[in-house]
Amino acid sequence: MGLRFAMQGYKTIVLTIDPAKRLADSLGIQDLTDTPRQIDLKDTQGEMWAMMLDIKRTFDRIVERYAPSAEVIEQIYANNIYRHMSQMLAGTQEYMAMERLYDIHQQGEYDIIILDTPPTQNAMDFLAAPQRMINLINNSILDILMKPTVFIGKSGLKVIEKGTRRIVKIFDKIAGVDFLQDISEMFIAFSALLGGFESRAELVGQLLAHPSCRFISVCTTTDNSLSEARNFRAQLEQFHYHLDQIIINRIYAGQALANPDDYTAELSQYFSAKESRLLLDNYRKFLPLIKNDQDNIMELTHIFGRKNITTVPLFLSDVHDLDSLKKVSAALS
Amino acid sequence: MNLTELLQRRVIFVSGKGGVGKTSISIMLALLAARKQKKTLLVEMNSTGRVPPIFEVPSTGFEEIPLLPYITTINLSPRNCFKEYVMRLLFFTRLYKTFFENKYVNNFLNAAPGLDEFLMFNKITSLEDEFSNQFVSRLKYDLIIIDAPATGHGLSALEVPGFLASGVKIGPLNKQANRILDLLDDRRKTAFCLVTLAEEMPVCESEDYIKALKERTGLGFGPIFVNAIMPQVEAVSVSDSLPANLQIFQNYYNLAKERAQLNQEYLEEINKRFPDFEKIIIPFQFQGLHTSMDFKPLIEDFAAAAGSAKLLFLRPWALDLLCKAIKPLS
Repeated sequence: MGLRFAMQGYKTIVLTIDPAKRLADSLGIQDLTDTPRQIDLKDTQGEMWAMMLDIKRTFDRIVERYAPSAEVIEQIYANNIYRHMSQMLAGTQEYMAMERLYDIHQQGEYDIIILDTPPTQNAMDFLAAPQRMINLINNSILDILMKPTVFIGKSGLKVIEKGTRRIVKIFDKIAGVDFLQDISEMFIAFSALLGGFESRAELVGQLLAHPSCRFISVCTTTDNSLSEARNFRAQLEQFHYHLDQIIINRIYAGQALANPDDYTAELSQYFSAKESRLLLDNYRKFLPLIKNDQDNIMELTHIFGRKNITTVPLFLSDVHDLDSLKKVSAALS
Repeated sequence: MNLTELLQRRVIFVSGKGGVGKTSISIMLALLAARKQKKTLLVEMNSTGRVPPIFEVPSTGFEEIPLLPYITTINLSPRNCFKEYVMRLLFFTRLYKTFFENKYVNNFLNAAPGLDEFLMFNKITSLEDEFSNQFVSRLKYDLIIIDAPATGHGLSALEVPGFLASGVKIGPLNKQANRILDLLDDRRKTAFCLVTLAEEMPVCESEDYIKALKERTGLGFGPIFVNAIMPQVEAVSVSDSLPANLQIFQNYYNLAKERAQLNQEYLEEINKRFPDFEKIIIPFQFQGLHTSMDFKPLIEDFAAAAGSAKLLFLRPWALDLLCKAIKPLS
């Protein structure tokens, strides 16, 4: 898609989370990083850029931007939970990716930004990340945990009200007081940043729901992939996001002939008897797949409307370089 | 580790790039294990419930659902796992309701990174040492097969127990995390299997994934399943002057030929890149794997490799019975 837009003359950037190495290699961008890199497209009007989302870097950048002092930055970096959480834990990644998307959008340097999300099962986690962050800040017990009085010590505990104390006690029973102490320390250190987080999370949410932001669902015709596409649409609607296209990839194209054997005579004008039989047998083997794809495409067309469905055939060769990508890109238009 | 040895584990993780057939391979392993009279639990991790429909059983909620003799499935929901985990520590439903069905607590938990993964692993750990009933010391499940999340997400999920074990020094969370780690890292009990296609991107991703898992976890590996290998086709001299209505036959011949060749190239590549792994090659299934009956040819092909020591089903009709969707047992 990036290629298609670039070839139409737009300045396009593709944000990916985990690019396949060989793909990056063949695009001439083997060391894809957090910094956008231009891809050499030869005789194209537009431009294509690519970038990898580096979660840790993005997180650090935000800390640096919103922290009121160098001391707070130190404190956050030294925190046990932050050290692990920002690098590897599932959940924060999505939020940080969204932040970076917003950043790129704000810079206003590109006509079109394409974000390659994780697979649908996790895509909603990804998209709901800003809202989760807002909920965490506005409507959660974070407030209680963050009150410095809570963990000053045993005497500190006496200061807080009864209800709060019970919640803290239960958390202690489940997670252990040390862990809670670490978490609350981190949040206390973060508290200086939370204002920034909150307003950004809201803006990211607005960007995603804006009509200029479109969602494209890529699926194959396996039973599972189709049901995921349907679920995904329902979830997008819930967030008032705009689903634009369903791209059905790797389809078995062509006609599903009812009686392939009717062609035996005609084929034998071009092939030997043995070859004709081979061709027919081979086609017959694929027939259930062709039929299955046609049924599924029909069903999806029925649900989503013809103009919202694009199909891409299964190609003879593997898609992992610029030339094969151009073929896919041609099939998309 | 070969297929027979793999089926002797207690826990098998099945992962790989999205769309390579993780669920199909998980089901195949479950059917092979059931054939050896192993009580098998097929676990989905917070999915849309994909396994039951294949056995023509409705997917209802997040409880254990019996599918066939010896095969049960469960779709883990972090919410349910959480309730179970907390209840074991708190004992009082009322307390749980007051605190954990509270909006403020929930908003906090929804944002807590890694919590869902921890809870699901915790549940798997407790399923592993569950007994069939409190009077007989017989395990409830001999084998637990986990249809794990796809590579990218799977890696961060598998790192969660390690992080908790090292990041949280004491307390129940630390204890549980260590219990999970003990199970994951126990190579006699647990094996991690990758599914890949013999194509560029899945092979590269598998290589990166294995490397990362070796660096960051203590998991032991089972065989690599190379899925959907197109059979080789006999040579046909193609024609340039075919009329349009015959083109489709030649197109599909070319597709089969090119795909088969591509698969062969990458099979070599796989042998080169993963020399220490046993590879299990699964032929392309033209009829698709929509229902459990569709697995029958595969099960027959792999019965010998899976170790036929004590076959439950000696007659062909019995295999039919196993593969055919029958009513849930209870």
